[in-house]
Amino acid sequence: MSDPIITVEGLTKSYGKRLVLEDISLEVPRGKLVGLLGANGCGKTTLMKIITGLIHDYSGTVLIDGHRPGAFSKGETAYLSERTYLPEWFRMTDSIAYFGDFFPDFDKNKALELTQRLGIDPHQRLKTMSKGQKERLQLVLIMSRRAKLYVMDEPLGGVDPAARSVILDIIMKNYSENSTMLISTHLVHDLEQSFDHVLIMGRGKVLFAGDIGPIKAKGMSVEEKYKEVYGDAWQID
Amino acid sequence: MLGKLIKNDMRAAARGVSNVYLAALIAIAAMGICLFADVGVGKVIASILLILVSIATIIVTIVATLGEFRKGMFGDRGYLTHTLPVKGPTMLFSKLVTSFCWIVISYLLVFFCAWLAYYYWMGESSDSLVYMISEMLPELGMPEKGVLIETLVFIAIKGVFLIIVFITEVFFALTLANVRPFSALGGFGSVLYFFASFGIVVFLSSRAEKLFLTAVLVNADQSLGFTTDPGAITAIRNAGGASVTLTQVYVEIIAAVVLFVLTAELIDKKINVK
Repeated sequence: MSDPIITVEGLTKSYGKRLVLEDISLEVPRGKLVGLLGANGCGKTTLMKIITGLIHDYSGTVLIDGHRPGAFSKGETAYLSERTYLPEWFRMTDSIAYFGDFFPDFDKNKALELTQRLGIDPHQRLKTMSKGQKERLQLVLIMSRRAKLYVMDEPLGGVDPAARSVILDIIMKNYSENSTMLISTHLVHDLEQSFDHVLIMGRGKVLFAGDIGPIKAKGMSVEEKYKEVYGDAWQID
Repeated sequence: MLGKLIKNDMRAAARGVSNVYLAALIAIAAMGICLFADVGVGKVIASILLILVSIATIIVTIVATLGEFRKGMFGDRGYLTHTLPVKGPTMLFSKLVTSFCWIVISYLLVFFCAWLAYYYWMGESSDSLVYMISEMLPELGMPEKGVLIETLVFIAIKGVFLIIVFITEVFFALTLANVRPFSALGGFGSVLYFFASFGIVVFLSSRAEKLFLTAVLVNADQSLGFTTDPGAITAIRNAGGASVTLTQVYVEIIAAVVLFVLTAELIDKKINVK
């Protein structure tokens, strides 16, 4: 692969005696929407946390745009975690000011526009918001950046179908063609039409990596490919 | 970037301490009202309240600012903190400055409250009492007022370093408690690591002071000197001067730098945000 945005070589990570990522190597192509698929506990979140610089004690090499995860790569990466990480006393306006302070690629006007579109009161404190509202707010902040790499951990997890389409709409309409988007999900069906490339993980390994084109050429959907890769084990893994 | 970090960290810490500062303001206001209304019982209650609140301010400020470090670095908010395009030492320095400022503010508030309470109770006789005590100092075997003030300035400077080393010890302990395999002990680990680092610094300070004593001398004529001779300290005290030992400060500065570097290294290379 020529000039990938993410390069991982021989990555191994364990939590105590539990091996989560076992000597994995992969490359994420630049400028594509990449699906990171796999069952719960297969190491997707750990991989994303390593890429975004939240986990440091691992062995192997991880490069983001040619740099090890650190201050430089964090400036190029927008990360949507599965946690709500903003202080409870923040208002949306505080969050926008905060992101504007630290990320030069953050577009405040876009953030305000998306906030209004989602019907969130910019002066409402986070502690009075529902979990779904907070997640959408974080999504707005992430998508208001013009990052080179977007890393999204289960953006559709625990979201009702109506909200899911809103989230998907925000993601698709606001990500630029030059950016790379790595999205982890096990709701394969909702996102498979959008993916350019998929990485399927299982038991701490990359079981499949490839473009969507050849999968579709075989007359298969991504979901079918996913099931094929997992075989009989996919339902119980 | 450091300025923006400090601004946001100061703001976040302010949220945690605002209530106790508000209580101090209320106590001061209550004292003022009771003074003008001449309510005897109210004066007593307001004064006690002010003293209690001012002491609580220090405790709450220390707990809140250092707790803010833990929440901001290792709680859910760590997901935001550790994805900012900022290097570990910058992030840590911002939190050190923030905690230091708030703790110093809390001490200043206590001194202000003590000063206020003194003048509140002594009224018109307050200045004459200060004058009388300062005149009595030599008779009590203490240095004169000018010498005492200069000595207190040096003690305050020592206090500043003591606060800095205390903060770095807590930061180090909290960070180490979030690094494998040290994280196995959980919250108890951070307490253990704090007392371990605190004990090591105290031990090294006392050993260093025995090995090479250094002290600043405040002579009776308020001129300053420097000595490494223990005999000079006794002599200056007998001559109506005072001395402040400095060896402990050197050890504390070295300890603070070492702990800061170690903590920054752990943040940049070992931390796993859960």
